[in-house]
Amino acid sequence: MKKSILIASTVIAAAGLFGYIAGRISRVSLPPAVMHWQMPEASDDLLSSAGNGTLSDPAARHVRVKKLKERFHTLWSSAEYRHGDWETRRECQLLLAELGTDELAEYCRASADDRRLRSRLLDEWVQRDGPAAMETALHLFSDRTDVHRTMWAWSLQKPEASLDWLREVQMPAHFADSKPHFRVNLLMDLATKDFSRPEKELPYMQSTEKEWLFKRLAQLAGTDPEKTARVKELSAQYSPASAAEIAKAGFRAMVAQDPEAAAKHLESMDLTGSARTEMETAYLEGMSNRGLTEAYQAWISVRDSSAPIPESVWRQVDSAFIFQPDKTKEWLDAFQPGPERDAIYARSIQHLAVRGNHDHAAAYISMIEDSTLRGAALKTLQRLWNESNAEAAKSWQSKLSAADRQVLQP
Amino acid sequence: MRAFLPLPLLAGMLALATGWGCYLWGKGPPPAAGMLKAKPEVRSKTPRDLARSASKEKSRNLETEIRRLMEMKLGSGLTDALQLPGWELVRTLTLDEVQQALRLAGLEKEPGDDAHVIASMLYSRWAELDPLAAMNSLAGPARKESPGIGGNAMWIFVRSDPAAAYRWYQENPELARDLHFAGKMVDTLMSEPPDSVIAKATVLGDEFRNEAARAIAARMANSEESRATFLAFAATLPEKDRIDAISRMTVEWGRQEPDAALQALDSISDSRLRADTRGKVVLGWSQRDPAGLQEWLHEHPQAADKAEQAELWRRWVTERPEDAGRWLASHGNPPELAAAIVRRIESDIQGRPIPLHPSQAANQEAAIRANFRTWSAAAPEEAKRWLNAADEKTRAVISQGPTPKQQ
Repeated sequence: MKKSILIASTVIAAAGLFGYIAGRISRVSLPPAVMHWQMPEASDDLLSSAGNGTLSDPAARHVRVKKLKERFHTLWSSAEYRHGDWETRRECQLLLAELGTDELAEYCRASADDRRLRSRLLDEWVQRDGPAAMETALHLFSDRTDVHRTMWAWSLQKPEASLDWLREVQMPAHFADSKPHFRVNLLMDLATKDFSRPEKELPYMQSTEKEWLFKRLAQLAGTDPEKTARVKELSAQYSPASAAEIAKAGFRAMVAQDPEAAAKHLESMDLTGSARTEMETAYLEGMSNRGLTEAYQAWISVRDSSAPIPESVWRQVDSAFIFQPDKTKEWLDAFQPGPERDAIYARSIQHLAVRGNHDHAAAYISMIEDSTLRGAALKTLQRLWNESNAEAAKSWQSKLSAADRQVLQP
Repeated sequence: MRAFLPLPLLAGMLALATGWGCYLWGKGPPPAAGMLKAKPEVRSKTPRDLARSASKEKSRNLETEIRRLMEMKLGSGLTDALQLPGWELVRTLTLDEVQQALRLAGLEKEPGDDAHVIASMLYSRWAELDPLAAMNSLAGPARKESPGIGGNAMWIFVRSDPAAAYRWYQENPELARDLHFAGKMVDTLMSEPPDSVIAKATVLGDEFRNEAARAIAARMANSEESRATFLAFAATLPEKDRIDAISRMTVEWGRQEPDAALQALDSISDSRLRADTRGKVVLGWSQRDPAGLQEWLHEHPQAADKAEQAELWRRWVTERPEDAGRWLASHGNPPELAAAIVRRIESDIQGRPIPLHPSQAANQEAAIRANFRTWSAAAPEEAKRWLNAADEKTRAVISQGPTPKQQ
């Protein structure tokens, strides 16, 4: 028995040895370029060594500021920052906090060539000295993205200070149209908490800006009788021309709440011509929180089908294509034949072609019954398809009916 | 007592098992695991743990803290200064608190933008404390939302324990792809010399090799010497990786020396990628220095056709009408270019799905009118024929008449 155990142990040990040797022989030998790693460099912990370089010692301060900026830039350019590492972002924030406002301003101005960096520095600067940061964004960088982002960052943190600044500032000509956008958007944010807050800014606003504000306020008021009455009152005092817009906003709110009651109300108003068309459009806008199919079906049911589709509705169709392309295609695929379908299919051609959906566009054209719309749509698709893929466009044309090919003859 | 198995059979089985075990021992870990295990640990360069232990001592009501966090509306503040106050709390949470907080933040429901930011912070913190558990959680019920909330957690895992992260990647290839695992892993190699980056990425797999080649390409575009070194490297890559990498390097080079980069495009053999690379270099140049680009195109007429030059000028005039108009006037308002500009703007008016900002649209409309006048003066019949065939919208824009501001 002992002998057997001895033999078994020897066999097992030999198997282990042979196995190990075989493993070593088959081990893949990796070259130094694979197995050798650089040692990561340690960096100074600047944030724990505060006190180096006080404002009273300019030379020492200069050295410290230089180190802070270098460290910030290293982190800012690192993969950590790019991957959104919160701790790295936090350290960057702490490093910027170590800079005085003048030092930060100088750093920002000197970073004009680096769009991303200057934008980050503006974010920080605008919280400390909003007017100076905005002036730099407007006049030195003069870039729309910088201006809008910086204004937005400021207004989120300090809405009242940014409103004060908007009262006084003279915008450069190419940003003049941004000012009412900033102010009205900001006031609408404040109005969600205090509906009366926008009133204080009315003396500083131009008439078109006021009209826009009242329209937005009326939308916000919805069906609230007190708020609606206040908007009407303000509009009568400051901008009587806005009355129609205010009425439409109230109607939109009614549609959103009860589409059927709103449709009856529309009929009872006994409107004709453009006044009727505008309220029909407001009806569609009021349905915007519903699905596309439901909203447009309801709109078709209230509209006067003999009137052309107004530009304001086309803008909504365009937005649907841009922001909900897949849902829009689903809606259009199931559209019932009729003049609206012809018109909307014709309009869809450029949206579909720009996105490379030429075949889908061609399929829609084949369903357009109105010959004028169909002809225009054929020409649009021919031009856009030719620009992106002339061979495919040619192949599509060769399969068209003789009548359609005739339309495309130069 | 009788043995359950006869001794020879038992000994044979044990010998086999021992042999196999010793074989695996002798063979060592798979190359990728061995390589990643040899990587020196990353010592934190940031004061990550400062002030965290102290905060653990404080007693806090987590529910109240999370509610406060939700009320900060972090999702609407895309800047660091607005979001970091949330991280100040999250970075001090313990493992238990992180898991509780995720429940309280309502991740089982469809999280809104604010919840996304908070969830990203919570998973990041979890990954700092126990990365594997955090990643496994992201692969669970929150899988659908993981790409939006797990990126930084993935990065922390890759950076802190690349070997374990690589094993996780092999077990969760789909989620790893959604979280850009390969790009993140390659980023951890970027402190290595270029030959080492390529060698290491090759051991990790094809996906990593291509990422590495592209990443190095961007890094080596800075000087003639480094570009030459890179091209020598690129020559050893498979064709697809090589072409991608050269394209990437040329785009980077184009940011510094666009004219030289454009002239070197022939090194990209794939015609589609060559055109794509050229487009990126030209677009970047047109955004940085539109006048310099137009001047170069004027001096190198063979480099682009008039339609392309017109399109680049159209983009310029849309943003900076005075500068673009001045440049055109200083070159004598060439009629051939004016005709091409008119056609490009017509195409833009008809084909643009997203309307321009009103001021940009006005700039463009003024430009088509001015250039139509230039064209009409030089070739009246041709311009008239074109106008008659143009669509109604374009004709309406042109017939609005001259505007005094436009050159």
